[in-house]
Amino acid sequence: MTHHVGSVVERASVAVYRTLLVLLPRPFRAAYRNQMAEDFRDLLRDETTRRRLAGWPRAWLRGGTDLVATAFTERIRGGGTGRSERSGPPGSAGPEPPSSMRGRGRTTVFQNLLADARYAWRHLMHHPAFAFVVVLTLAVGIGANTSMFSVVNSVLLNALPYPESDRLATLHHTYEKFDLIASVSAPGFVDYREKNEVFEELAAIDFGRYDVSGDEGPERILGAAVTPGYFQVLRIDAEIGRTFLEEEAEPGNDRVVVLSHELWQRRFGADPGVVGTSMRMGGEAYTVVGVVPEDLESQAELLVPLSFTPEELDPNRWTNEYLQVIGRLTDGVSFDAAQANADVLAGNVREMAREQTTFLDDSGWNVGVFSARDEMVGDVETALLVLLGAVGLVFLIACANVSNLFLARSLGREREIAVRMSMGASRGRISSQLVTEGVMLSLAGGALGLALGGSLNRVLVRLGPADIPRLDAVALDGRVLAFTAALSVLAGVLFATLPALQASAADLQATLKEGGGRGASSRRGHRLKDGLVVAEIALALLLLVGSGLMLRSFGRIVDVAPGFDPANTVSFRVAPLEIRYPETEDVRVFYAELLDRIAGLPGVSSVGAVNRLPLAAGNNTASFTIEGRETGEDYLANMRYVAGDYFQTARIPLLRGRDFDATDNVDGEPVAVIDEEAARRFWPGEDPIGQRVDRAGSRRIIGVVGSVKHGGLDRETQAHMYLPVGQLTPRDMAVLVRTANDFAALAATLRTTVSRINPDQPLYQIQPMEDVISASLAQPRFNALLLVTFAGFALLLAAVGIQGVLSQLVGRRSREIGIRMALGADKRSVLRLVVGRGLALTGVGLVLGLLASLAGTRALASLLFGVSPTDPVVLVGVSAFLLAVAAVAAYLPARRATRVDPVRAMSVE
Amino acid sequence: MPARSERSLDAFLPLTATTFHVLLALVDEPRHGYGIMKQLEASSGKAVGPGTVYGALRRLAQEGLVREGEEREAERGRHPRQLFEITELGQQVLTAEGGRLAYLADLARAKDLVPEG
Repeated sequence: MTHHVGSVVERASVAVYRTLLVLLPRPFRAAYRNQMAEDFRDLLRDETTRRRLAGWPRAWLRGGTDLVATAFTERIRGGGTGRSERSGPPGSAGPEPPSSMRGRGRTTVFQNLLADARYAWRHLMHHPAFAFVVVLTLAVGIGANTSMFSVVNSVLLNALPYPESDRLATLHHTYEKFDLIASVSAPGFVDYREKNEVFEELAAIDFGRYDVSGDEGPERILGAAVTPGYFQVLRIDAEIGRTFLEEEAEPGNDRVVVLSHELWQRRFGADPGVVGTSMRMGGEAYTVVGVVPEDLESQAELLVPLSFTPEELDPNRWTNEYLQVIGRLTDGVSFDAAQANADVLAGNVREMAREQTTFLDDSGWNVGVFSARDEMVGDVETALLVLLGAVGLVFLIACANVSNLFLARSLGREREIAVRMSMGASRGRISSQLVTEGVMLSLAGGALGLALGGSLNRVLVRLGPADIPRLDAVALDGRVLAFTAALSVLAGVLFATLPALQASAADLQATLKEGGGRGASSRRGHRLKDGLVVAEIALALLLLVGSGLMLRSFGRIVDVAPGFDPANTVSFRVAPLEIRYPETEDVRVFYAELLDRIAGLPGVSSVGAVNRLPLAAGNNTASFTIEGRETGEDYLANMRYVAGDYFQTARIPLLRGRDFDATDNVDGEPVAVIDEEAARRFWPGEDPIGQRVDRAGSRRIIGVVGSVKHGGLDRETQAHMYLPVGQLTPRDMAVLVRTANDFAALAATLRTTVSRINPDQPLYQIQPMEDVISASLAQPRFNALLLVTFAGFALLLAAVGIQGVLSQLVGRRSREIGIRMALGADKRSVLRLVVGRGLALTGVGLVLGLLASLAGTRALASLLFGVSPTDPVVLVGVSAFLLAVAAVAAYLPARRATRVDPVRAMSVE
Repeated sequence: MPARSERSLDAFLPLTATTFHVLLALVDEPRHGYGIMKQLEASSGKAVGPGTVYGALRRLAQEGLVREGEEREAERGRHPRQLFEITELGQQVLTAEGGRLAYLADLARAKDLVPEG
């Protein structure tokens, strides 16, 4: 395991090192890139063999800083012959004196920089512990940022990996009255494509599952029927063969199929000869005409032409919406202009329809044009930006901490700096030398951070919820590298500038006379350090409040009763093969036999089926009218078709009336069951039992069951209507089994049971129902987990900051403390002095942090469920927690202060 | 390349510490970059990185003091290692630098500045 991790870090390190080689002039790089990378790998191996973990930073410090120094040298030489090298006095090749100590010779900026770099390098090699802590702190800050930015880069910035993707749009039928954004119907699509003036090309997509059979065994594959324009809209070309011809979108010519790269590799072993061969789907032969490349974003693994029969295009089917429609806007047309055009066309449609029905008018029907990118990332955009902001705060805290380390060190170096200045070095030279040191360290931190970010990415991809689009495509690309490089330089400048300014403002005479450490400038320096600690605490509090809110919100979501009991249930989907079960009656018989056989399995207590499981992806909604209401109003509910003992299996309570039974079949009276939410919404103050609704014919309501959540636990409860499969039979159902059996064993038994009915019949998505719930919680869990992690980093860094500042306080004032103790002060009062100081700083930080939280957490509002962004429990709890951590961090140096020996403390100096 | 006169050898002197140690590292046998790095560390006590080594090698190659030798196969998945070897001119320059340093050491010794050891 360790070995494996080591080799991953090694590979990442070498990759980062190779990337950093761009710093070198091109000819140099071209000549030695590979050799240098190999040398660096050897260096890594040697160092880690000798020093284990400590070898990594040592190798990086050595290889990385040497690289930066070489880059400076080589660039100044400008690829020259190097003659200038010998112009100095003999022996000048050793480390040069720092530039700040040289006279006012004719030195160039570059030469100064080079000298600074060398001096810094030498200095840092003499203080490896300091360099190590700085590089590590920065690596954590930069690594977390690199990783989060690569997610944002992949998900938000590269959301649609197609050429000119900002022109891609999705089209929807919208119903203002129902607040509904629906798919598009076939006649709606054809009419709009013909009449619109804003789209270069439009395409309709009908996702479906296809039963592929053949030598590789039966398999149910997610595919899509698409109109031929699909490939022009997305600008996809076939990598082998071709895409669809216009005439293949006509019934009769449409037995052709295009494979995704993935399917081609998986099922056909990437055989290029597959084009032209025949493939059996749903019992019919299709000719494979091409393969499309990997980055095809839709999940479909195979594509067939989408054709419409005249019946399907009948205007009566205008609101029979089942197609996804995408389009590419003509260059220069804005989304607003496209929407305006759609408004006009939809208005014409409503007018034409008015003679037959006023439904389109009444429901506020329209055609909506949406940005494909916004539609894809809309839900996760806020969450990712909040996370990026949070990780940015961690970065700032890391910089503040490192600044403090630098300040502490530059205060210790006051005398050295004063000497240099007395010999003629300008303030500017001294500052730039300190900044160079900072940038060198931060570049090393950045390089390590990049490696860390690469590993974090792998973790994020594993943890990330499935509904974040393109999370699996997260990678360290050029943009991420540029981001990390910029961040590293920024870090160096940020944390080195303050101390540099401070150090170079040193009061020469006073410092030289006093011996350094207690001058006016060092007082200023200590104030600056206090200020940085206060800022760290404020930022840490902001992050803690954010993560506290997310945790509390997550707790609230988990507490929501889903309306059913997922424990000890297993679900799977099954769609009876059309070739084997062509008639509705066959399908019905299949379901009945399947449920019957499963019910007879040992350990199964009950079984039922439904077309959509609660909280699973997807939905079916339909409108219906209530008979006897004079307004003739349309109502909208989630439609569910159930078979067997579904309610009992899911433990959805029957509140009133009766459950479906065997008599509720095609020969019986059409009936429906509604849920509590539907009763509350549509029959307020009335008894729904016995009422009649018009949905697929007139039917009587026979029962009311408890409400279940759909679309997410944090969503508003939706109204449901349940219809018996005996009367209306979908061709695809989810079977739910309640059992005490082990999942793996049951899964195998279920497969056997299905294959006993028909050996070619596939079943899919077999999983414990608890996994379905868990998947629906993935997004809030991801947000909370990451924010808590970031806040943990922040807290740790802030605690280290407090501890560091107080340690220095104790060191600085040990003489004073010694005198106090000699004069009779007890340990308690010394403790109070130091801890009090720490808590005072923390208090100021808390106040500032709370103010920032009140303003900042508003960005979280849309991500929170059942918690106000200014939730007092979170604000108070988190503040108290931070105060407690600060007290512990302050106690350690305080205890050291109580052990000051008065005699020794006073005799120092 | 024709042998150079003493006079033209002087044009290469003095060598910088890094170039001196790099040439020194190549006297016994051709080495690759990392081998030179380790020799450099042993003979000069200075821990340098690949950048410094190849910076020196590039200049030395431009001036004809070292040349690229054969490539040595490396383990799977790694690039073959380029060996560098010292040229005859490089040998001459290194000898001349040795002489120069010895002369300087003699001067210092005459003034009792070199601790005997």
